[in-house]
Amino acid sequence: MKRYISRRILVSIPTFFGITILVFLVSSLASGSPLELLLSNQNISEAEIKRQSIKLGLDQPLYIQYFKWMGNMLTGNLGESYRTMQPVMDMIINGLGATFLLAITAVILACLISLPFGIQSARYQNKAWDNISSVFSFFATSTPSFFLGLVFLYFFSVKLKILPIGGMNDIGQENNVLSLLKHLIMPAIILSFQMVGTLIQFIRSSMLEVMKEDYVRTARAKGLKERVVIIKHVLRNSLIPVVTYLGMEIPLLLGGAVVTEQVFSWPGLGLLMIKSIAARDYPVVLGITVLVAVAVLVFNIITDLIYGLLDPRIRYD
Amino acid sequence: MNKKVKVFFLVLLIAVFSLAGCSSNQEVKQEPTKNQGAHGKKDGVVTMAIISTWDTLNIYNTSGNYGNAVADQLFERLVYRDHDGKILPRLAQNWEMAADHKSMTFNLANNVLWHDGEKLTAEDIVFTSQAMTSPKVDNYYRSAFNVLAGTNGDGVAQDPKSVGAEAVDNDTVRFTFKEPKDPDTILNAFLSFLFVLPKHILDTGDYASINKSDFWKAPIGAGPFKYVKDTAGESLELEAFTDYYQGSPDFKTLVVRVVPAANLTAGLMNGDIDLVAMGSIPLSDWKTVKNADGIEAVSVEDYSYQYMTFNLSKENDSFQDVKVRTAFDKAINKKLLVDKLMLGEGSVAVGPMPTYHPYYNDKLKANKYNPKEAKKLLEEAGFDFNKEYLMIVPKGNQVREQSALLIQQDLAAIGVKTKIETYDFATLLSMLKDGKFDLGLLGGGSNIDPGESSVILKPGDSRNYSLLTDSKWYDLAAKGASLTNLDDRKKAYDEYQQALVEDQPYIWLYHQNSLWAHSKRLSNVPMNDFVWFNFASWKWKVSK
Repeated sequence: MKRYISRRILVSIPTFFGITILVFLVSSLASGSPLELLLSNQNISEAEIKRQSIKLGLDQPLYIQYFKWMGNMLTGNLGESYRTMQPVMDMIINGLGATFLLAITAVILACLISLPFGIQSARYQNKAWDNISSVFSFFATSTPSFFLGLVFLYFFSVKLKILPIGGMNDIGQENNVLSLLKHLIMPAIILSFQMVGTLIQFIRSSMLEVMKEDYVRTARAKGLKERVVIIKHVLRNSLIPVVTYLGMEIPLLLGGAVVTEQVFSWPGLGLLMIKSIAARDYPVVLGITVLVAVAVLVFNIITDLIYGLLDPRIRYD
Repeated sequence: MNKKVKVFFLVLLIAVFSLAGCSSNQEVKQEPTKNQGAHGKKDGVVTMAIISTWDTLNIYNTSGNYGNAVADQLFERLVYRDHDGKILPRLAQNWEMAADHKSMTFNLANNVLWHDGEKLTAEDIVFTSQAMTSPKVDNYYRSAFNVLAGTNGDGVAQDPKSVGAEAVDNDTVRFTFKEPKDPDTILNAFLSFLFVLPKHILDTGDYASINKSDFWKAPIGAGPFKYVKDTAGESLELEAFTDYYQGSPDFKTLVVRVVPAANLTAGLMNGDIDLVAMGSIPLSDWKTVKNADGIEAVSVEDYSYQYMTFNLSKENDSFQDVKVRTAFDKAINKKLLVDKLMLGEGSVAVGPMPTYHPYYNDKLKANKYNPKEAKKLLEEAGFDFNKEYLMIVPKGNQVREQSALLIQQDLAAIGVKTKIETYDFATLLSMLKDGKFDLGLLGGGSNIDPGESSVILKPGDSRNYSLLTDSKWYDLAAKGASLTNLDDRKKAYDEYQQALVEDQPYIWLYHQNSLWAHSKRLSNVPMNDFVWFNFASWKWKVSK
């Protein structure tokens, strides 16, 4: 087990460097320089922008810029934002908390909604319940989140006036959990919707498969109660695709739910990413990308380990 | 259904309802406090929405308008300006230009305090001028300082002692200039950017320390509101500065929040937003906002302008003939753009200055919309009707994107084939720079100085988007800037505007109004003056 983990970590290192080189190259291909963009404001002086470019080393060849950035990153310094002049690390840590809260809530909500739907669909295959949950899951998957977000805003904020239009907190209510929940509930539901549809289908099809297994028939023949059969024997063995899906989804969510965060002005990494891309604020874009890359690598390993827990037949020695 | 599953569902249902219940309870509980805020005179919270972030509280390093909206709350300038360009006293109570027009003296209000209680004096203004011209300090707006003696053309002074700013006494500051200057230029172009910084905090003996100073995380200014805290460039909480020299603001907390344009109306309607200050309410929502109870909606005439660029570089000979450019100007139905796309909330542009600009040339002979004449002009010029011309348009401004389609139809009507391509702003700028375009749509307008548009006509500047090689128009504007007599200046800028109409190095299309609104909870809000980032927030009243 330990050998397996250390081998996986070792393999991750070159992958990580590969990703950074690729990201650096791709972002340098995007046309437009971060500082020249400022010149669209006619009050900003051109000479000053040129001076800044030299100061920031933007006039240097790409590989030198890469090695400088890499060298700094290995010491934990992700550089400074061209846009806000703040350390990228601080900006990411600021956004990460908000993003993490939103992501975790959405994942929990998604599981809470999709597990009962998925289980019941599989149990009553092709019955009314199954059809309802199929329609629901297609609806959830195919509705774009910006649209759903605006519909929610219209009903809950404009018509019913029970929920705020965005942000994370009311002023002076920073430690008020209820205020936080009020702000969190709409974006979290909308974000979870994207996952719910997929999860229901995953759970349903994988349970249907497991239900055909001999050991399920044996369990039933032993006279076990139906719920024990479903929960202990069927569900547990059906969770591998679910875990795989979440293992891929969570690290992406950590990079920020770009659309949802923007609609609800949720101050997370997704919002930061969009602003940084539009402003060609490369240090921040690279910083968030590196974070997501690391998260993907870490979650891949975690997912593999959970497989072993769920299915003792999978061994890593 | 299995019992346990039923129980599970029940729990889920209860959870959902109790969550919903929580939030509505919370609302009931909160309503009185909200109202209390509105009732209790100084307890109120006022939320001001802007559509994009200020990026940084370092006012000399922000990218533009949104930074200025915040800076006006925290920091003081010497003067401010109403919508029509009239200068009003702020820090400076009165001022006088010397007879030789080479120095200007300002008498300051003598009861001005910094947020930390220290007194603001002329020394702070001198320090700010010296620091912001020092090459060690990053200052995006430095060229505005280049009027001062001791600075070079870019506004850089190698020796801070040589900078033309001196404290005559505690309450009097004198600026000296390189060459004779008109007072308007100083008040409009230079003083718009001189946000005064506290010497007693920032003067560490090394100007370079200002760039990375922790000061910018929680700045101490002398403006009507004090910094409390901010969240990731998304919301900023400010508290009334009760010792503000023009009188304490009427409410305790001012929140500046970034809200996407699409959500502005929802926020105004449900009371989350009290004021939309920077970034227009979308036209599609305008009627709703105008008709809503409890909302004061104001369509403010704006000084910014939209224009079309031609590729006039040596490599592209399509538009070199002035007849071609005039034909384009005559072919575009600008009135239709204003009436249809802006629902009339704007005006047709003839040049960079709108009719309400103090320097507008009212004798200007503009081209009239006349497709027939336009077509004739193109034929006379031997224009190539077979080629398809590329028009590039930046993403983000909906009216501008739609205007491209109408312009395309107008041009098609005189036989000119165009292809529209839309790009994000950064990409578009690099295409303009590389000359990979025939036509382009852009916007501009930055301050009320009549010469502010000349930068897009200056050969060699990266904002010379038409890639002009002739400095004729820039020279005309520069001449205006060099004069000190008002009549002479007016005449010079009249010529400048007339030359732009005759030669059409750009086609000025329209001036779009800013659509702003505030809750009727607030009164005495000079929304018209917001165009110059003058919010006068200490004058706002919150209703009882």
